[in-house]
Amino acid sequence: MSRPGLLVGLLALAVMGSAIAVVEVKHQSRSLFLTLESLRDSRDELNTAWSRLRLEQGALAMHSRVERIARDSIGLRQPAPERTTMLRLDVGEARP
Amino acid sequence: MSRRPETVDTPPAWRRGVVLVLLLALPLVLMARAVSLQLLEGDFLQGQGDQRHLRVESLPAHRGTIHDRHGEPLAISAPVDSVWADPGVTLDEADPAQMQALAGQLGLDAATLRADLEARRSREFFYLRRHVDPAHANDVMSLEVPGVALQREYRRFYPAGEVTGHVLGFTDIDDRGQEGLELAYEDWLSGEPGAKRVLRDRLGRNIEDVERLREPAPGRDLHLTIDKRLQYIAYRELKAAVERNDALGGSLVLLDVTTGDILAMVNQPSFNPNRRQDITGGRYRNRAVTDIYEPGSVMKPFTVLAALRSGRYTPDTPVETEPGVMRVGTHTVRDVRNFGELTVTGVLRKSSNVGAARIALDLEGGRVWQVFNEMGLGRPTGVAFPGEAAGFVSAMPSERPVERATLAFGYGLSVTNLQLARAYAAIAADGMLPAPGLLSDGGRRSAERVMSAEHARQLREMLAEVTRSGGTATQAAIPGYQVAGKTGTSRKAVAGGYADSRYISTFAGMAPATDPRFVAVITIDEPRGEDYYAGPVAGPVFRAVVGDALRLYNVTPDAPVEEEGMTVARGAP
Repeated sequence: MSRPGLLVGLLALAVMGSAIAVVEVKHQSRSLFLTLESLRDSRDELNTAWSRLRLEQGALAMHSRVERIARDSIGLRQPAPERTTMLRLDVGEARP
Repeated sequence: MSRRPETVDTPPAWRRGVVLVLLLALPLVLMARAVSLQLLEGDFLQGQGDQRHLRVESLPAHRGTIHDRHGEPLAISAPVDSVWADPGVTLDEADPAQMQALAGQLGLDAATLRADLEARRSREFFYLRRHVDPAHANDVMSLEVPGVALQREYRRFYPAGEVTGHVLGFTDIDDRGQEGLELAYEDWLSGEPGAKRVLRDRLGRNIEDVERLREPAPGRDLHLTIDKRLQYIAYRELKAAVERNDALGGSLVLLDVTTGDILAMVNQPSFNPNRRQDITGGRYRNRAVTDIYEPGSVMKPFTVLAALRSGRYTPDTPVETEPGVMRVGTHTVRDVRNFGELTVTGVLRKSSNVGAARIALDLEGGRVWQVFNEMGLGRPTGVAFPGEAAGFVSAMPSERPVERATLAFGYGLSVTNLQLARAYAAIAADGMLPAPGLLSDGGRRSAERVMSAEHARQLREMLAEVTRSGGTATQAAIPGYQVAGKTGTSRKAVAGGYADSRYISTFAGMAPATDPRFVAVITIDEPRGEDYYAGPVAGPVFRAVVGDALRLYNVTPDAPVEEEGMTVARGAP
């Protein structure tokens, strides 16, 4: 076979190979894209859940609610001055 | 057998030629058409096709979260879904049962829904319902109504509700800041929405994401100097005081003395930023920053400062206030009663108008005015809050004795609560006037020296008398701590003069007096109960709020503790 004929043959083979590779890569990219989308979806879902939980936490930790429970259910109150003991640390004076 | 014709009629050669040419021409025509479609009209046709199926969808960006100084969230953007429809498609393709179910899910009447869609038939996009929570949105989508789809959006939630309403402000339905810090830092908080190109089918469903044009850039977070715990205590106490005194409104500012950080800023009446229908008629005004008033007697310490600066007065210099009434020009200055001879300290403790006026008239003209100006009154504080008022101090010192005298006890100028708190912070911080701020950006804001440390200390000692027995604000005293402060009960200016029984009661104070940590200013607008003097009206708010602040921040008591009945235990560290 003449040299130009060989060249054309090789090029034709290369074209075929590249065409198949294009199909393969396209397929890969599609499946990767699908994975990416599903990951994005689950990220969005987690974000939604997270912000819902944060809001729930905010509602449960509302100061007015905590205060009401502390006062009414547990009966906590601020100690009066008579029942307060001040602890003074005599810095520099009574070092052993 | 049939007879074979002898001669076969050979068709003329040209006919074969014609057929051949025609047959050969057909693929040429096809090719020409292909060339014309692909190359000549290709772009146009592709464009038309894309217009029908390719859509650019915006990807909403997350708005930044606002945190308090301890990182507690104060404003969060949570994802929600908005339901929209392509009216034409929905009307043509949905069967009546689906429409009925859709209307039911959206809480609408089926006939109304149909009419709404009919009115917008020519459009391609129509919001059916905005901001539905994602679980509900999935129920709507499970009906599979043609032409109905979801759009992801963000909705702002404020976990602290009314407590932080005025400071934070709120956003509109498109998540743009409308008031308060949400408006002031809109550019910082709001994100840049992204965009993606998608392929949609005839019914408006996304079939394929073609490409991401732009990733959404989420907004940045904002860290405030507000302490949520103190903010809540301040809100609770101010609200209680406004109700107790049947007042029109009120506001409170709590400052950290050394840094100028605004720890709490609350107002009444308040609103809940989570419920938009609450936001009406000026309820959302952050009065502490936007409303100005004539401060009245709370300005007397600054008059005394002018006196101390002259070198002719000390805290013990006697000031004659006999007989409790004084005529200045056509104006009469009155005290509550005749206090007789007082010292400069006594003028502050008893809040004597006559005493303050006499001191001001005795000083060189313009001295008091100059002090007021140096305290940053009449100028914005630089807190960068939308709608901040600058207050008012006359551009030039007045020569008229009436105005000099009334300025001495706080009339003829107007201030905001924040300005007043800042001026008192200068007394508390040994003479350094801080720059108040709401953002804890790490960097220290600059403070400016406006009085000597010695004068500041003298003022604090004098002001500590105000909350002791015999002062005007014994109600502001905090067990275990010394409190320095000053009351002010000013008449409201109305058209043609001053109203007879409409007052603004103010208490400005700091604690602990020997080494202040907090400054608070409380204003109660038009108390209409039995009391209108600032001591009983605003004093208890100061005691409750600053008392709790001192406890929460573990500030060492500076009062002789034995007096309060506390036990003291000593020990080595």
